[in-house]
Amino acid sequence: MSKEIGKVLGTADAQPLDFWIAVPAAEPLQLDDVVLVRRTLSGGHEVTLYGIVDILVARHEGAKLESDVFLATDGVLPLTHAVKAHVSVTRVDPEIFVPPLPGEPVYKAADGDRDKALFFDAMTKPFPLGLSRDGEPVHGNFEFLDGSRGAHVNISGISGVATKTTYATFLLYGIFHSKLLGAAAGNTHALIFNVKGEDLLFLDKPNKALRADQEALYAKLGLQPGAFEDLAIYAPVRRETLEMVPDTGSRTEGVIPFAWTVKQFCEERLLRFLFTEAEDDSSQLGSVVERVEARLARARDDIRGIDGFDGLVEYIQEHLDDWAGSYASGTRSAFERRLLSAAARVAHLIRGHTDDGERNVINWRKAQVTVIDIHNLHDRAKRFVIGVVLKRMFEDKEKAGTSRPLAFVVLDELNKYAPREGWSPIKDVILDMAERGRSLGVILIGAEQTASQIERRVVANSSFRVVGRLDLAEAQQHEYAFLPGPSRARAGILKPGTVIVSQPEIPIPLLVRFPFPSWATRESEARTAAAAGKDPFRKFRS
Amino acid sequence: MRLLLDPWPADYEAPISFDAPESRPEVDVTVESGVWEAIPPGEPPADASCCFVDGVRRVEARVLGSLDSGGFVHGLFGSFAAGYVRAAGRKAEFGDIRVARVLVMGNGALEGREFLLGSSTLSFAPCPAVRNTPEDVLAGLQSRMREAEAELAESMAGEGCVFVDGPSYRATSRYPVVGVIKRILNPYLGEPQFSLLGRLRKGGRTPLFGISDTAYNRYSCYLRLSDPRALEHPLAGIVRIETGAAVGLDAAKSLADFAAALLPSFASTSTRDPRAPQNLLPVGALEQEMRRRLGDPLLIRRAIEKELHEQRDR
Repeated sequence: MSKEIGKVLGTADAQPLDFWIAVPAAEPLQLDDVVLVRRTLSGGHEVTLYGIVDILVARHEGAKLESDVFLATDGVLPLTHAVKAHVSVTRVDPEIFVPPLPGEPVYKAADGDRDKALFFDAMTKPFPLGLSRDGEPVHGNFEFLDGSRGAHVNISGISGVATKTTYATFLLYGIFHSKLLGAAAGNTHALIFNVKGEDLLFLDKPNKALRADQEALYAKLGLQPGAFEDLAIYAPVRRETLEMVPDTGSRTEGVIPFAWTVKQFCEERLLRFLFTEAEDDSSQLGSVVERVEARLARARDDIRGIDGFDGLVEYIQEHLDDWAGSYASGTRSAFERRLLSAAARVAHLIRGHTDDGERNVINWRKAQVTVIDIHNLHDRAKRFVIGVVLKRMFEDKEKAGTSRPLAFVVLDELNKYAPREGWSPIKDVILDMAERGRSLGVILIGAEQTASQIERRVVANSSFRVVGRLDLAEAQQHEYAFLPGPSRARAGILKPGTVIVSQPEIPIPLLVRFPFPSWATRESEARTAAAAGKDPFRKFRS
Repeated sequence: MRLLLDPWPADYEAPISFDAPESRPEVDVTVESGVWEAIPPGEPPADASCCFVDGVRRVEARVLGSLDSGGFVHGLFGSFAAGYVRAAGRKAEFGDIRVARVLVMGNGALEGREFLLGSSTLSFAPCPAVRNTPEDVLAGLQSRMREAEAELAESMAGEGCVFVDGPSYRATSRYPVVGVIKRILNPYLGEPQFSLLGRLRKGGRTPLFGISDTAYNRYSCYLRLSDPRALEHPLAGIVRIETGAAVGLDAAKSLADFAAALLPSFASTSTRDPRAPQNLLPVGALEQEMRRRLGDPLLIRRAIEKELHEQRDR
């Protein structure tokens, strides 16, 4: 039952879309609480205004001077407390936009009223976004994620608070483990790039450090705490060894080493992904790369004997004058320079042969969730792997010609791969994904520290905008204009495990908490219960 | 001649008057002590608890009632409130505040009016004044306010010391109620005794003196709330307190000691109240709160105008 918590006040203008309420000082109304007020119009129409508390103010009433507070606390001057709350309206039902009247009772919305206020009642396919501050579930409309009416998630937040990737994996966990996907769950895939640390290498292990109170949060969201059962982990092969051994530290068991053969490299035209520095559009370099790629794709016989990437580089150098003689020598030497510097970083990933060609190729359809660990690679090699894998996935989806089943891609550090300035092959793929992914069923869950440094169209195409803790200067950028003033200020003090989510149907971003991961994020959580209490947020608990 | 400043703003009536009062009551300066010397303040009791009672009034509109005979009767729509602040421990809070409205008419005429303002009903109760002059009509409102204050003070008297603003204590002289008089209208004392006032230090008081007149008998003393600035006259910062003689001399003495120990801590400063320090802080806040509770004067004035306009059609 919705309970009365205050009244519309009359000392400030009440408007159809925002108004102030006076609240008894003892009432525990807090930010983000959902409230409603009714207004009866002539003819018996009743309009209900639903809204969210976004500002709370307390004052001494009757005080004239700042130092009156001392007199009041000394028991000399009688002053009274006044608490007022600002409400931003989320929904008006029916849509008759009239202001609420001062003096009307305001109720804290519960149950069905709360669902109406936050549009949950109209969501045919809700998926869990987390819990509100008062512990109630907050849903997202899956239709805005699966491509029917929108797609993609963009997450911004400073690094080091374990929020962005954890929230991305939490969203995936919710999507895969609720009944949302139905029979399609088995064919729906997710591809996660592990760009930092080894946090994501244990997604298939239940978290032994999960506390009972956190389990209750999962239950509240209609989820069973657990892990991603169907997981494939790929890691780059270790350098300087001929055997195919994954280059990971904390986990080797079940990790598939990946590499490409020179043949695959040439046939699949992967050369361009070595030239992924952001370029000026007018540069001739891209044209040289395309020409060399075309030659390599045809040179089947010549490359058969090449036993490694260094050999391939030599082969290209030998023929460069022949293939690209018409280009300025400056362009050709720029090409060579970059090819050589890339060789130093990715040579170990492109080999004459691999143990088992098929096994060592990244197959994003092998398991429900595929983690590709690239955190040990140099930036240039990271770009190469991401570019190649995404291009392949995108081509696969294009060939399939249907948007179902869906494929999710989780990519952190988006600012490196889709920067605002310049052009690169990866940016091209990501932009393509952002713009056409919706119809192809490729859903990007992208994350970055600063949305202001990302290609605008990538962010603009994301239906769900998520903000973790932000640098306060960053929060003032235009990219966060969807956050009202108070939310911007709060973005600077968000605790780990808390994010602000904006989604198309709800005019106000909601603050949500998400439970501690129920899958392991480190070896210790996967192995023993003794590590209980250690969590990725431990440094930030107050 | 050396000139000294009177700290109250010039718009207020001067806090001190040396005109010879019309009646000269009998004054006995030896009731407490044979020696006329300042009595320094003691420590206030740790669990000191007291109430400050006050009232406010406002004339909403003056009217003239036309008689069938062709004559006129003076009258006014008035609002008044009486309330109290309780200060106990380290907490001061507003208590009950009672608001009432009257239509005072001269010549003993009984007229009341009731009409709507927004969603509330304004009810001006009939209140006859004996004579038909504007001053008497106003005095009628004033005395209704005093009665309300006295009634409230009486109901509070069981709960510790009650300070009443002005001379309202008179109706409640049987109770331990202390009247605090901000202005010196009648010095009561002769020159030799009165000169002690200038030598009082903060919290110090004169010995009690008895006052007997036709109205009733009481004990009184002067008390300094704060030390004056060098440019102010030596009587600045002094109040007079009174207690009905019916409470007995011992009770009157302990009430005076209590007041001397406690009241300086409630004294206002000139930044907070123009009538500092005599208008005590809780009293100033109470007056402000009560004026607020009287309602918006402009709205009430409009409602009265509307009512008077509509009565022509009835």
